[in-house]
Amino acid sequence: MDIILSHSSGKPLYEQIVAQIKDQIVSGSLKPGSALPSMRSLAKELRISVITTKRAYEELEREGFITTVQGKGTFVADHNIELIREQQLRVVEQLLEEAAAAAKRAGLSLEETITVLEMFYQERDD
Amino acid sequence: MNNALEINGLTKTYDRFRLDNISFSLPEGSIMGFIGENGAGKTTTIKLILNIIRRDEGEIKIFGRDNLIDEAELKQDIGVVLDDINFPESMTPRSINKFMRHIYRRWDQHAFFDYLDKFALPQRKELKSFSRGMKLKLSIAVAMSHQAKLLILDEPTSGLDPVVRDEILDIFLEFIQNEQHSIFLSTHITSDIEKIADYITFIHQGRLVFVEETNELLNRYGILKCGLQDFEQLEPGSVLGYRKNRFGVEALVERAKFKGYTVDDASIEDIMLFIIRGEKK
Amino acid sequence: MIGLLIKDLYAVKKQLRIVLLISLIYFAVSVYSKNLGMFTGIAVMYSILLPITSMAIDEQCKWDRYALAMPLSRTAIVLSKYVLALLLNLGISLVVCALLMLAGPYGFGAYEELLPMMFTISAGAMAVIAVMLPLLYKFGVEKARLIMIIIFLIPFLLSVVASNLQVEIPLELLEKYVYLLPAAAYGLVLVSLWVSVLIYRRKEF
Repeated sequence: MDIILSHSSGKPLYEQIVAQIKDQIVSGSLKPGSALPSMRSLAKELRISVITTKRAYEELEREGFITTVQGKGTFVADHNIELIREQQLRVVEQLLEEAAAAAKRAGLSLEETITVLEMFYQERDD
Repeated sequence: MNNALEINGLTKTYDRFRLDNISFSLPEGSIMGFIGENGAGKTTTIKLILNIIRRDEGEIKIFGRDNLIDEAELKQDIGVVLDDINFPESMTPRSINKFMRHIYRRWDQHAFFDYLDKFALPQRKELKSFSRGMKLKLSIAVAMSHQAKLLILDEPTSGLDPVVRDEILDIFLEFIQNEQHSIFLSTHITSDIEKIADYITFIHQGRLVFVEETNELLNRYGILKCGLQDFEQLEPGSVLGYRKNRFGVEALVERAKFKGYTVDDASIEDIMLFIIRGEKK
Repeated sequence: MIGLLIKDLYAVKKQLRIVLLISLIYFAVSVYSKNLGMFTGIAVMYSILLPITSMAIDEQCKWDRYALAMPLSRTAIVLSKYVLALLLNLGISLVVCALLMLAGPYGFGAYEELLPMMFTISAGAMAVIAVMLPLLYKFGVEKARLIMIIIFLIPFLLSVVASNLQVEIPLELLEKYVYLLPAAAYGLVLVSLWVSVLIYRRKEF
């Protein structure tokens, strides 16, 4: 598992951890049932406060991405297709929102924006 | 959530200095950094916790128990590093081991020698020949070799070079892997605190300024930079401290109150300096 | 408390070696000059000097502050110093006794005469310690230094005088009281211990 934190990105550390772990679960690089490091050892490795890792894990657990088994540790939760899909959808929505805002700022019309989107969509398929 | 350390209304009066009504708690499993400039009352507070000096008022609980009633028992579980090594100069690490065995019930000889190795401290050389850094490392080795649950450290890294400090911070992080272990360390090297502390207690001229989660502090505060004119427009009280020069003003502010402005990150050192030295609006 | 004794012995080990060395030299000198009074005086002086050195070392490295952070009661810390003084005193007295007995064949009088003197002097040393330790606890080694110099010169001079006066003092008288003196001295030590503990309990570091 890779976690790369930026202390200067303006995004709170625990959010970065949550986002990165989520991504890895969604993309499949973290498989269901695989063990995650304990909050404390993660804090130690990343040289950050345990409070941060604890918060990150709590949120991930709340959203159903990980589960903690008392005495055994923390594991990636079994895949809930709905959950993953929802998460992925959320990412798309967020990006599109940003794109729409940027397009408006640049003075693009809806049609022009869609054209650009199509271009990129097709590109990905190649 | 258990507290490793609980302090309530702690007060101690000297001729020229008064530690006034200090209260804070250290939750089990965390590291608390205790910061303040020299003379702010950090060492006094630590001495009061350890009952090396007697308090005038207040209550101190360690692991939930009164620090006076259960003093000797509690101290079995507390590892201490006070500024500067306190052993006679003619002793050697080996001889220290020989007598520590009789002081701490759970003295762990193996752990002690392991630390001596890790810190590259010669076992049979007299303390007289040790550098300051070596003496401090030895103190830390002793503090961590009797299965203590709470480490209380007064400036454990001052005078050490950055490489050694980093090694020691790693050792503290290792110590904290056990959820029942806690660390209370005072320092004026705020960069160390930023790296490993979960909570920060800031004391100034004998008074408590704040007790906060480190993350909270770093997220909440920032440094606003603006022109002299604009600065005059700001509400008094919205600024915790500022520094003026001929070309503009730097001010410590709460980010939330200044959305839309350019606010830089504030380090713990910045926060400390602005609060202590900054002028108040 | 054993731990503290071990630590104190390690702390003064250098001085201890010097003491033994000087004692041997003085013993040789005394035998040569046929004046044992000086030798016993020196030995006694050292048995007073060592506990004081131990306290001076503690003060210098700020030991007390650290010791109080350990699971040690203030009473135990003070008691260990007294036990240290006692051990050193008895130890040195034994060494002196042994050496005196060795010197017997060289014509210093039967050891029945010398032993009582030894007892007296050893008790005297403990009495001096009993007076000094509370002073040291109260004022610290630095400030009490002057008082100390005066105080430990006294037994030294006394034992020199005593050995010279030996001829004049009736032995029966000495023998009757010789076993009382240690009792008195140790009684004084107990009182001193009590006082020292009181002082130390209030001290802040």
